[in-house]
Amino acid sequence: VYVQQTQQLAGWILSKNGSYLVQGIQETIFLALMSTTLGAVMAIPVGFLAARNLMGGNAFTMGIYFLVRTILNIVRSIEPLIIAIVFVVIVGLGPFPGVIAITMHTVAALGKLFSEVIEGIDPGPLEAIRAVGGNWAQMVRYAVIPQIVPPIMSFTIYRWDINVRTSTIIGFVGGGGIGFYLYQWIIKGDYRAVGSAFIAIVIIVMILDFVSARIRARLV
Amino acid sequence: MNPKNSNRRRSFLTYFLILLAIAAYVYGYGVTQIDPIKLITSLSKGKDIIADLINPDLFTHETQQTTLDLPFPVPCGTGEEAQPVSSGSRITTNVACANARDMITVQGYDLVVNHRVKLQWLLPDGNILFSDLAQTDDRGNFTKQIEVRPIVSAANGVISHLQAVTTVDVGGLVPSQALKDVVNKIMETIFMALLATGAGTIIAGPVSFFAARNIMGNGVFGKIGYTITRTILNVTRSYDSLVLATVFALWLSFGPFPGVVALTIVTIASLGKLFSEAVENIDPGPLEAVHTTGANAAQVIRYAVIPQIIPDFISYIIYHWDINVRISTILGFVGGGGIGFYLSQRINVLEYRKAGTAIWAIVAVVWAMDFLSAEIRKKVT
Repeated sequence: VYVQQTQQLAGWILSKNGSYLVQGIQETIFLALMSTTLGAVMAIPVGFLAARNLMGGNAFTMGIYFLVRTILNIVRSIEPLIIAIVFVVIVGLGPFPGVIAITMHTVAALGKLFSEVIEGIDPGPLEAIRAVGGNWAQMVRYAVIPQIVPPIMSFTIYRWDINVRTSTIIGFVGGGGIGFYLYQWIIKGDYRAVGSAFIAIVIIVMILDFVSARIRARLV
Repeated sequence: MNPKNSNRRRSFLTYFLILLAIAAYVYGYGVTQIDPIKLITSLSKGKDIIADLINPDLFTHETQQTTLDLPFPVPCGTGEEAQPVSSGSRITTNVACANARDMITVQGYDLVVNHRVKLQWLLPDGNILFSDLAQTDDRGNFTKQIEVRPIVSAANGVISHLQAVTTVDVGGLVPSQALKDVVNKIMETIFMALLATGAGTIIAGPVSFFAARNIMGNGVFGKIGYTITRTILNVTRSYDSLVLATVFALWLSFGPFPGVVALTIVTIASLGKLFSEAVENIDPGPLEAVHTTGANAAQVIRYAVIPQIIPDFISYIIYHWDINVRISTILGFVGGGGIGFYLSQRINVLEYRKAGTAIWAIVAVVWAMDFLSAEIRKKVT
């Protein structure tokens, strides 16, 4: 006959699901951060290529403009989750396919917004700098950048908010983050774990919303 | 504090924030397991998949199948052997019967020229066992060596038949099964979005008044009602509709219905907030004007509030219909109905061309919705 006794030894420690939760949240936050940053960096050159006023010069650049625009429109219509399900097959499970998927969608979405920012710049300051004898680099530095940086920052932060929400669910198809564990828990019927994931999602989404609002107020 | 000191403090803070950001990125690089080398090494695999995805399965030729049949006893003596035929499309074997694991030579005559022929066994239990593929030459003949597998042995006095199947295209292009399925599912997707937007709007309309500060007033009950409504809307808005759809799919069983329910809840939360902002921004002038003529609260809403908010509401509803179509394309991933279920199934069974059909359909529909909603909103506002 075996007798087993369990005794509480010390204070609180994380349960198994609790440690999964912490790991999932960590992945979710950094998924959003990395893919927004990578996406925004890549979207800047893409935005220039998709700006009509810069590419309208001759037939060749116009061709590039239409090509880039078409690709952006196609990729933008495909939800990150669909891109992720394809990349999970290609590079395997984990946060990496999630990063690729969200980054691709971010490039497409921000590329279009950035190109509209570039198309909307006021030619007045450009002419003023040129009139005082500024060269091309000075024109970009003093007339173009001041006009496009605030809206670009604002759009990027707005995209960050969206990506935080997306990265909570990208794990449903194996793309990492809290969604991966949440999906398992829902399927398994472990509703206490599901509840903690729900609370965690509300907390991180609200905190990051608050942080992004503060950063936006600072920068823009 | 002198200005120099505060300057120094500020630059210290800047450096600290930059360091913190670098640390976050380095740490995040590890946590998210970013691996460019893996991306490059798996490129060959990805190339095939993506090539299939951008080459969707849309149309197919009408086909006709011809099957040539030859009774073939295994082992010898278990059944009647085939009578040799000498004209027309036919297959023959170098021996009339064989034992298990023998190699036999199959020859075909006067078949379709330069075409692929599938060799198969019709087993005694009625199942088909694939054997090999052969290619006919320019006279329509082929020769192929195949092995007699033990499974084709006669059972209960019934013998196996050797069959040669040719499939030829006849007639023009017809929509493939994949295209029919996708069209069917994409219609379901659009109507899911439409239903959810409609139901969400009907509920969000009244809810938005409870979340509007100017309507709720400054009384204690007003403030409590406002805070509760706003909090519920904010919490609900934090969840992606997919999370809710998973829960409802488990609760209400799989299908479009849990998807519509989840989408409706998300629509209420987000339209409720947008609507309440529209209500908060109304001009108080007309309200006072109607009020001073002795109208009651219902008349104030009817003649002063509603005319001001209708254009904004319609614009938001159409905008949200657009968003809902996008979301409903992925609800099927978690059992919420629509095209997503078909798409994830096709990817799971590695039928990437059919998955490609679904993805192109999604692109077309989202594009069309984008265009349509922009046009309608331009007209309305």
